[in-house]
Formats: sequence, structure tokens, C-alpha cells
Amino acid sequence: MWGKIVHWIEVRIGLEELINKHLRQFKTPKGATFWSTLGFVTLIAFILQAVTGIMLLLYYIPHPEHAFKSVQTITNEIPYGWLFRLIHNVGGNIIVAVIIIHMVHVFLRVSYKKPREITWVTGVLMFLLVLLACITGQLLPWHQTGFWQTTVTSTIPSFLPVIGEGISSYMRGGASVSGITLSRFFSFHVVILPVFIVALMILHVLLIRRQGLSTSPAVEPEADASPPEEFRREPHLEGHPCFPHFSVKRSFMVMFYFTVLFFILTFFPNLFLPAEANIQADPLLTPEAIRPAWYFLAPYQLIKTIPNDVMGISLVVIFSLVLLFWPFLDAKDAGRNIRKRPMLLSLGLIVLALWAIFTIWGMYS
Amino acid sequence: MERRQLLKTSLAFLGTTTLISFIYPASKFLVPPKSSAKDTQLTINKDEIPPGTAKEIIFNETPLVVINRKGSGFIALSRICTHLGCLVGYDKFNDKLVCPCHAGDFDLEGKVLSGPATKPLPRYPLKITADQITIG
Repeated sequence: MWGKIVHWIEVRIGLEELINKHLRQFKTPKGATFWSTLGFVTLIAFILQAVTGIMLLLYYIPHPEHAFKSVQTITNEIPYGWLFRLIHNVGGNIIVAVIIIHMVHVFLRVSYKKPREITWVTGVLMFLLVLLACITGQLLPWHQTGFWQTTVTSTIPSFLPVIGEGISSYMRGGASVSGITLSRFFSFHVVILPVFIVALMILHVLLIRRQGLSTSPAVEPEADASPPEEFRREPHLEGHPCFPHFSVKRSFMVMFYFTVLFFILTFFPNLFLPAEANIQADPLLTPEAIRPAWYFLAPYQLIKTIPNDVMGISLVVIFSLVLLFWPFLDAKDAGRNIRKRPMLLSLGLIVLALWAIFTIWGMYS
Repeated sequence: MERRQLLKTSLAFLGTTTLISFIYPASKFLVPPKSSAKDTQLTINKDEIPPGTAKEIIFNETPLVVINRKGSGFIALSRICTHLGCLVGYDKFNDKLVCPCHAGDFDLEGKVLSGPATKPLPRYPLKITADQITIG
């Protein structure tokens, strides 16, 4: 029976040829480990966010008078509404963690170097857009936490000279967070940002497919010798076919992602929903301790620590720009083996350590 | 069983379990919630509907029309046309209910007079006292 169904599909679509051409003949390098699957895991995590987001849209009402109640209805009255809301909420946090680990891995493998500069830039742009999606998403439930986090987040750009006030006003759609802000954030969260993220994702995947996965300099040191002067796809002749070898690794990591997601859902369901998230937004009452989400704690603490607000926000902007254009700033002639580049390794580790310190500091300050 | 085959089978099992775990709650989630309308009663004063007139009301989220028929008293009918769901209106000049969408006509008992509808308009029970009419 199963064989007949497969044959029926095969005659009409030519699935075997598709799998052969795009998966079996597409070789992954010898050094492709579980870490190399994190881009794919991010893709699955993004699809999960899109699916759960669309489902929440069926009951969510983007209006200040109804938004909080509609989210409470989803959580408490709609069958399994709590599950999809929590998957969306927790998934939105884990996806950021997965992207950060993916970026650290790419950085430590120095995979961003020629000819993969555009792949890195599209990746960082996607990361920044995902952060924006997180910012816009936190206001939608119209609870105290989201409302005041948005107030703080939309005030920070106003520290920038000349354009700062304009950016803040543009974000809020006025002088303060209101129903107009909710409408703006809603359209950005559900339409504008996802469209740009998907466009960048297509470009990112297309580039990876065209160039082939980058090799590990530790496993294939010869590949690191001289960057190509004309386009060539890395054949990875000694590597394994993407399907089924690498696909099994990918599937395992996707399962691991779901394990982490459901572990948090089961044992720490309120990890990313503080007590104030159960109180409707009150524009006249600021809760005692308003902190940004964990991934914004480091820049938040940095801005708080530096007495000059302009300098604080400028540092964050400069760091983001350096991260975005890093492939063009890294030494051209240097090799890809990070073990032979102690300066680069130290720089990466120092930035990571500082980020961790500022995050923990921000959590307890 | 080979190691790779075991891994594949385990992944297929886990994948199917995950998919089913998602599809079952998703199908439950998509079922529209039960109406929050309660089985309450609605009372209106008789004075509001003189003979030969009608009053349009919403009762338990359903649009109704209460008609004071000349000679045969009050009746409450659903305004939802049994053809395609448009709302019928009371035509006081011809003593009938008319659907504006496809020209369906109903008499003041809710029965089909003409047009594409085949079922009569649902009737709602009334309790009539000296001054008031209670629906439900």
C-alpha cells in the first residue's frame, strides 16, 4: 500500500530525482558535526513560530481594550490555547539562543571569510530582525511587562543625537506607547518582519546551497590554503551525502530542540512570563522591576552602566555594525584555522565573556 | 538491527509522536469555542410593539423579530433567512417578512411564501403577561 502511494507520487513529481539531485548529490564536508545543523534547527524553530503565531492570530484581537482579554481567553478557555501560547512564547526565546550558538560556531570556524561574506551578513541581518520581532511581539499581549518593556525599549533610541527622538516617535507612533503602537507592532510582528526574514532566509539558504557547507579547517586543512578567485562550489568529495547521513544528524538536533522546548514548557512554564505578565497594561502604573528579555540584558546593562547615554547607545550601535560587517573587517590574508589565530580567538572569547557578565549583572542589578 | 537503521527507526517514531502530539491539540484548538451566550430570558414591554408593527432584537446572540400581528397577537421569529443566512425584515405594508438577498418571502408564521428558501424561520417561545412579553 505504502509502496503504491510512493509510486503514485513518484510518477507525478519525480521525488526520487529531486532527492538525488538536491540531497544525495549534495555532499556535506567531512567535519560536519551536530553544531553544523544549527542553521537547520533555526529554520524549523522559525517555522514552528510561524505556525503557532498563525494559530494564535485566530483568537487574538489587536486592540488595547481587547488584546489582554483575548490572550487570557486563549490561555484559559480555548482548548490547548495555553500550549500554543507557551510554545510561541518559549520558542521565541529559544530561537534567539539557537541563533546565538549558531553564530558563535560560524565565528569560531571562521566560516564567514571569502566567499561567504554575504551569507554572514544575511545571517546577522536575520538575527537583528528576529530580535525586532521579539521586541514587537512582547507588546501584543498588552500586559504590564510588555507595555513597560516597550516603553523602555522605545525610549532608548531617543538617546541618539538628532535622529533619536524621531526613531522613538516612529516606533511608538506618538509621544507614548498607546493603541497606535499596538497596531504598528502588530503589523510589524505578523507581516512586515516575517516577510523580510523569509526573504533573507531564502537568500541565506540559496547561498549555502550554491557554495556548499563550509569545511572545518581542523578536518580539511588544505581547503583553508587560498580563498578562490572565481566561483566554485565546494564538492566535498570525501564528505557524506546530505541525505540520509547529515539529515539524520539534523533530525536528531531538531528533536533535541523540541526536548528543550517541552522541558521548559513542562517544568518552567512561566520562565519567560513574570507575574506582571498576568496583569493588564496600566499606562499610569509602572511595575517595580522592569527588565528586558534575557537577550537584551547585556546591552541594557551596558547603557545603564555608562553614565553618558549617547555613548552607551552608540557603543551598542557600533557593536551591531561591527558584527554585521565583520567578514570585511577581519584580516584578508589570515587563514581560517582559529587555533592559529590566537588574537581572533581571544577577541571572540572576550566578547562572549563580556556579554555573559553584562547579562548576569543586568539580571541581578 | 544495524546502528543506522535503529537510529532511523527511533527518529521516525519520535517524529511521528511529535507530529501527532502537535496535530491533536491543534485540531482541538481550531474548533470554534462554544458561544458565551447564556440561556437567559429577555423581557420587553408590550407598549413598544403596537399592533401591525415589529421590533428587531438580539436574543442569545441571535437576531430576532417580535411581531404584533393584527388579530393574532405576538410572535417571535428568527431573522436569519433559512436560504443563505441574510437577515429578513418586516414588510408592514404587505404583512410578510422579506429577505433582501434573494427575494425570499415568509408569512408572519415564518412559513415560506416564495423564493429559494425551503425551511420556515425558527419560532421562539413567548410568555405574555398583561404588560410584558418574555422571550425564552
